Amino acid sequence: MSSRDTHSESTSLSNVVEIHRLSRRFGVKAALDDISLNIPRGGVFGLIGGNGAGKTTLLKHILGMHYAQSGSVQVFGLDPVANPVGVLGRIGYMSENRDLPNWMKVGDLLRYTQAFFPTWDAAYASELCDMFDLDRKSRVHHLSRGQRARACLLVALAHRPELLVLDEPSSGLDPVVRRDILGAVIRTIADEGRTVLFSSHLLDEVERVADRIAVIHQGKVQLTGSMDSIKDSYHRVTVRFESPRDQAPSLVGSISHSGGGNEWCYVCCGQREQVHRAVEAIGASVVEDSNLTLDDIFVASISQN
Amino acid sequence: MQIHINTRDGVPIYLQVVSQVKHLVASGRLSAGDELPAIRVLAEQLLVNPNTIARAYRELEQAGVVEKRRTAGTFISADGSPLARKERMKILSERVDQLLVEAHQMNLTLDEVIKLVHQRESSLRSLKKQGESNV
Amino acid sequence: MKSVTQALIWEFLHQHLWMVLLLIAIANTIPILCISALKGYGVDLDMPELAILPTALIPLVVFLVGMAIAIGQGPAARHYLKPLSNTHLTSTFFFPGLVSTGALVGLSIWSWNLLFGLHWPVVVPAIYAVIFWAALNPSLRVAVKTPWRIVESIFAILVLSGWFFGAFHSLDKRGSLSWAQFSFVDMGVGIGVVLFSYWLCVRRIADDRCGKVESRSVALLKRWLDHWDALRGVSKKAFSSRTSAQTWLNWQTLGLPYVGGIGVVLAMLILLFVGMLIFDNRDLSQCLNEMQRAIGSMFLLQIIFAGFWGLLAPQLRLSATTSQQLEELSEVNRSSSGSIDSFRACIPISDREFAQSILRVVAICVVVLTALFGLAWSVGWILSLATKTPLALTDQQVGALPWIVLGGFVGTWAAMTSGIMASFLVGQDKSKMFAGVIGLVTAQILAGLFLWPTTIVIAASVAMLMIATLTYSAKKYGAKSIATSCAGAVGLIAIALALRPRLEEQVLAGLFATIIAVLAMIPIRGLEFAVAKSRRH
Repeated sequence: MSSRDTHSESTSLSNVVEIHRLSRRFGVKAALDDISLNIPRGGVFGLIGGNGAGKTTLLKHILGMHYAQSGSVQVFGLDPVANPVGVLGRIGYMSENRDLPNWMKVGDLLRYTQAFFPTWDAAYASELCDMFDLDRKSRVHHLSRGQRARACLLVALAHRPELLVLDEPSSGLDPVVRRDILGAVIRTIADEGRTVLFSSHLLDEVERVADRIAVIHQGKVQLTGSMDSIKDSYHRVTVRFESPRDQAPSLVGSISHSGGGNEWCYVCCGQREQVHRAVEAIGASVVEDSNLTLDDIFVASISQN
Repeated sequence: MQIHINTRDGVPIYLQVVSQVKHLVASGRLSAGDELPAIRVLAEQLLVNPNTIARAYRELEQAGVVEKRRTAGTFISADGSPLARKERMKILSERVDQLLVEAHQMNLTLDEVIKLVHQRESSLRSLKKQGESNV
Repeated sequence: MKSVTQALIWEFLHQHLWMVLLLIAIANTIPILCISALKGYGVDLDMPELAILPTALIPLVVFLVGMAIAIGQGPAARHYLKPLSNTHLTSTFFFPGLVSTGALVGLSIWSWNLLFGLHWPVVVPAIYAVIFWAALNPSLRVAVKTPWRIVESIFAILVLSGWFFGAFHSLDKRGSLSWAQFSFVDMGVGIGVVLFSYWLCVRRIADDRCGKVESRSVALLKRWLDHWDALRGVSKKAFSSRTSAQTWLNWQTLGLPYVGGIGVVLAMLILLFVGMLIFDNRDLSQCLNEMQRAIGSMFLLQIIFAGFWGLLAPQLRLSATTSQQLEELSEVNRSSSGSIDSFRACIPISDREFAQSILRVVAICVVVLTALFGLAWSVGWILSLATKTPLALTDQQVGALPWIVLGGFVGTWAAMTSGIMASFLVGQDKSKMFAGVIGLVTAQILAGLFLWPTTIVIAASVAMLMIATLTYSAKKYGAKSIATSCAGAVGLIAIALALRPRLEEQVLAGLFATIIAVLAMIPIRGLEFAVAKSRRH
């Protein structure tokens, strides 16, 4: 028992979130299926997945809104269900729907939220208020969608959270507000030791700011790792055969293929040298070898299974 | 310093930064001793992860394009490093490739292209002279 | 779907049926409580003097049932984008709404007649309900606020009050209810009002649909209000604790409207009584005497209505939008949205603090409610001094007065907290009705209307049910359950005693007091576990 405790302590220093073999069912539908995931301290962790893939359910476990049906979830080395004050007090959270109490004034909102966070930085809050051009006297329901998102972001940032959780932060927003949000993410991790976890459909945003990603599909972690290693391991190679082929010859490590005749295009996963060797093995030569965008990688990793 | 990040063609972002800085140096828009923006500033400007910029700067340092001075920041290293020259040749050869492909499309021979290059060079030189005499 | 109307009715039944049923149940609660209370006191309801009862209660049920239907149908603006002409659009909600309002009012009164052996008119009030709601529709359905809206509302109120006073005024002379009869002239006027309202509705929708701007005076008024709102500024005082911040939120969003709404209804009832009496009595001293009788009797309303407050209380739970409700929402359309939707659900607050904030708001509500009824009663008391007549309904029970006050206090508290707790425990949206019924049963028993062994068994069972669920939740979330176990022991004793036949009245009263105490105490600890159960899924 004591050895397990020391183990969890030592890992919680490097990992902000530790999820171990977590499963969750709603009725007969498995929303999460045996998920293990660690989110290291510092940096931006991007959570990618289609609609209904289980991203939100996973975030809910991290926020302590679901207890673990099987497996375990630890945030800052604590159980978020047993200790909502200790965990949520160190998290800044912005939801996709950006739901705020409509009747409050922005000033009321700040005053109300401040009561819950001992680390609330009033000076930083007013600085953000000015930067986002938010009027403390205006009511939340008078705010435009963009201003509302900014107010939500302000509330999530002003206590300088150790972990910032953003659920689809950019959906339905104009580019100016999106820049504000991405800027806030970058400023947050530029401070030593702070972590951002965000889920998004806009994969070019993820590609810009995330240094680690996890792809979730049908409740399973399909792919996880650092952005660099993932980008290095996916290639699109165009190969040329001496004679035209009716069907694409199978290539070791390929996920999908297209084309016809002499030239075929493969999306492959693996080391570049291995792929090239495999191409030579089927008697073809590499004409072109290019990187995949995160969009392509996402589609490829989902179609892999 | 103008850098543009494009996430559409799949090139890793740090590589885009590296090649664009190299390009700026080779084309003379950044010269020896110029200071590069701090990692955090550039990250906020380009809206990319600071770690990515740090990696790009590391690669540039290893390639001898920039040098880190203690406490001062990151600067373009002194001109004439063999690597910088190699890089220039690389950039130019890409351009020459494009030129040759287009020339081939337009049914121009290699000799004609070389002749054209010489012509343009002399006309540019005369323009430069005019400009200097005007000043 | 063959027709638009059919499609709308289908939508209504699928989406709003439960809510409308709940609202109609609430609408029926007040009359049923009143009638059963009077029956409990052994009053003969067929007395001619009590003709005031249907005269007052039927308009109330007409209003509440119509409101339920209107809320269920939603604003007309919902259909503006559908390919319908203005007349077609209006008739899709106008006539079905009126027919169902009339039918439900008739059904309600018919069921009271059946339950309590009354002889109240059924058909004519239903027809009046149709006419009244037809008159109210134009001002109710259209979003744009113009001065016309005020005129239209006045028109509707005139229709209602004309009918109401007409009926009441003739009470003395005919000794029966005038609106039991319905003449051809009435019929003609009624059809006229309905058709005129329909035409008005079509016109208003035609204006509203193409975005006719609101009138200048309204815009000015709005600007002035905004200006005033901005001038008032924002309080800079920081909250002392998480609980106080959450209490502030709960009070602002639900406690205040709850108490305010009840206050307004109470004031309107008093005004209505006063107006009726002034209208009907020429002699001042007799008028004052009647007034104090009417107002003095209101004092008992709080106790009689404790169940009603309990039934309303689960609505307070909304203030605590917790993850479970969101879960239900997202489970319905998991594939389409499935987002975490609550600012409040992610606020770092412990279950105990959350429960405390709710209990504080309930406590404030109970105090304010008691104060409101006390105020009404003191008016009656002053009037009774002025007319030198004994205070109505309490004259025989002056000695019991402190107990009645205490009962009202504790009863309201117990009803509201158990209602809220039950809704947290049960959780699902549609079960709010069930939670409300628990609050209602609790309060009805507490109000002392039926002091029978059977009711004590029911009360004890309710208590046991809650305790069992709470103990389960407490265990599940690793909380200590000593308090709940103690409460469970008390509940068991209560049941054991209650099952013994032939108890003396004093023993019964003692048991009764014990259960009241238990029911009032359980939520103090138990709400925390109920919150825990609801908050984490």
